[in-house]
Amino acid sequence: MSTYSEPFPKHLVSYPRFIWRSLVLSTEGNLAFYAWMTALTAIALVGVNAWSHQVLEGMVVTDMSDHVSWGLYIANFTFLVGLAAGGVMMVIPAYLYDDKKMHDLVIVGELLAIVAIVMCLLFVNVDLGRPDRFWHIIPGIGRFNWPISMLTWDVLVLSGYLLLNLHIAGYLLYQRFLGHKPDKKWYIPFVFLSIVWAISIHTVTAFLYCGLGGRPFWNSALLAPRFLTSAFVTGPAFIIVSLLILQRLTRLEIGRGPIDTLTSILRITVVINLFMVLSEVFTEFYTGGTHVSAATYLYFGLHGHHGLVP
Amino acid sequence: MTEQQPESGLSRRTLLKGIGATLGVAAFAKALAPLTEWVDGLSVDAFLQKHYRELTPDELQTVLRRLEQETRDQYGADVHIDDLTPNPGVKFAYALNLSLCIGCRKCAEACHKENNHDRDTHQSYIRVLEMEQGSLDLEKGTAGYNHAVPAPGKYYMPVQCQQCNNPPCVKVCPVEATWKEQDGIVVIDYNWCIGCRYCEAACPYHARRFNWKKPSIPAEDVNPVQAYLSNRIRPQGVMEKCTFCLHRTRAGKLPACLEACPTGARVFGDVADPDSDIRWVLENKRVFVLKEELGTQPSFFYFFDV
Repeated sequence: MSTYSEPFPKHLVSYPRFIWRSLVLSTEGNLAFYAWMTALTAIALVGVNAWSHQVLEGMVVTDMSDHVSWGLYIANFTFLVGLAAGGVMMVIPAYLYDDKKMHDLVIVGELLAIVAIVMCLLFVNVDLGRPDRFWHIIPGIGRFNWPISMLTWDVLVLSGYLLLNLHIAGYLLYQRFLGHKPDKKWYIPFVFLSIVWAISIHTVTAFLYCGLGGRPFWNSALLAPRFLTSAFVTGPAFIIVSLLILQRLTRLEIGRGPIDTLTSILRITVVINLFMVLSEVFTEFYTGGTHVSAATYLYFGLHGHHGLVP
Repeated sequence: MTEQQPESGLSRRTLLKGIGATLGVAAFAKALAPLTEWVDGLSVDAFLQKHYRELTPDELQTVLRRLEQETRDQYGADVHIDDLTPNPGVKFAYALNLSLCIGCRKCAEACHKENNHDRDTHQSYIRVLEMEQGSLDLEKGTAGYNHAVPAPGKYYMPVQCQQCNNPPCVKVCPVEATWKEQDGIVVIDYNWCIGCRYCEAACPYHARRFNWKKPSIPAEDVNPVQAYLSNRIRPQGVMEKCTFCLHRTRAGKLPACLEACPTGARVFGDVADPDSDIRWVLENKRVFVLKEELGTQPSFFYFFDV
């Protein structure tokens, strides 16, 4: 371990100290912080309790049915994959274009990716009818239908993206804790890999849906590009809001630079996304026929049903 | 930095944090409490059971006896669960004469009883669509009709698993819990399915069902002649589907829906047998399949008699 400035065994002592220090710091705050955390914990506990009732009594408690077999869980999962991928819009300016100011803040994007992926994995897991059989989908232990099933690809890309970001953010924070300058070869290759990987997670998630011939509304080649573009709208938007909150509540130096960069990105992606919506709406409604039913329902309601109409 | 703070301040804060964490863990355990009842209902053998196709003949027998015991314990019914494998050289197909079907739904009712479906939801693998004459548009069909049949201006189209030769449901399963057997029947290992419902989203025919709750059936109504891959009572939280009644058809009998049909609209058999009824229909009638454009290649055919 010549790359580390200290012999490896030393990390056996300093790494646990780093974890402990992180734990202490992340539970430090004023009264408002503790009130906020308590409120969030209470909400999470309601969810945990609801889930355990669902496991015991069956997914009938979700009010989903054989007709609407996927609901909020999968919708949230999909949205959060997008949000995780959106974090890359900080990584690209910081590392690909050497934006110094963005570089100082890029860890916010990486941490956002970690949080979003963890939530994604939780959402897919609560959607399982048999959580006790989770081990069936672990490669090597269960029976992993790879490469045929897109869901197995999703397992690989999502856990890969989580590991990549855990490594990058973890390494940078650990070096900072040690007071060392991070060694580029321990994180730069992973950063570049994570850029490609971020694109892959939302592409695979789109492929989950657009590969289904029996679902005409999803069965469109536009789905993956649209997923990515909308992720690159919501991702930067969410980060801008987070940065503004961080600026208010912490001593972190944000400045206008990174926010302006993210705003420029968003201005372009939102137009591309709207263009894709237009293109989709035109193709559906101008063609007509059975294919338009899903879109008709979504925008206007169909056969007297309008539960999802905005 | 906290290290520079007085010792007493640090320890008081740490103590408060400890109390907070303890309360949090206790609340978490309390929130998860309903799970203990669920875990009690799970046996180690059931948890560790291997995939159907990895079981040795001895292991399979042990599993079958355990499942029979579970049915006795949970439903109070004495059943026999067998494992019927495909007969070599047989390829099953189904045909339905839409000119004869009157929409009475006796097939759906027979399926409900034969396959030990949940009594509360009146589940069945067959949905009979009331269709408008002059149209094959499934969107115009309705399964919820409630009047005397046949109604004027309507015809009836029962839809169940099409046992596709290119089944989208099998492709998408992440754990290989569903597959197509030699005789053309698409089956599910109910003890391997994780309940992600991806197959239900993939099926263009709405042929698959999910067990949103534990099926409820009075002991005296349970059909005791069962097979591992077909009509045994399904566990909560897994997918299920029509298996062409393989516990009957692999033993030389006809599917329950066919026997229940009062008009003789249903024809079933082995397409590899040149003398079979199904072979005669396929050779002499102008048959069609549903949603042919999707390339699923169903083994279920429809025809009109005129």
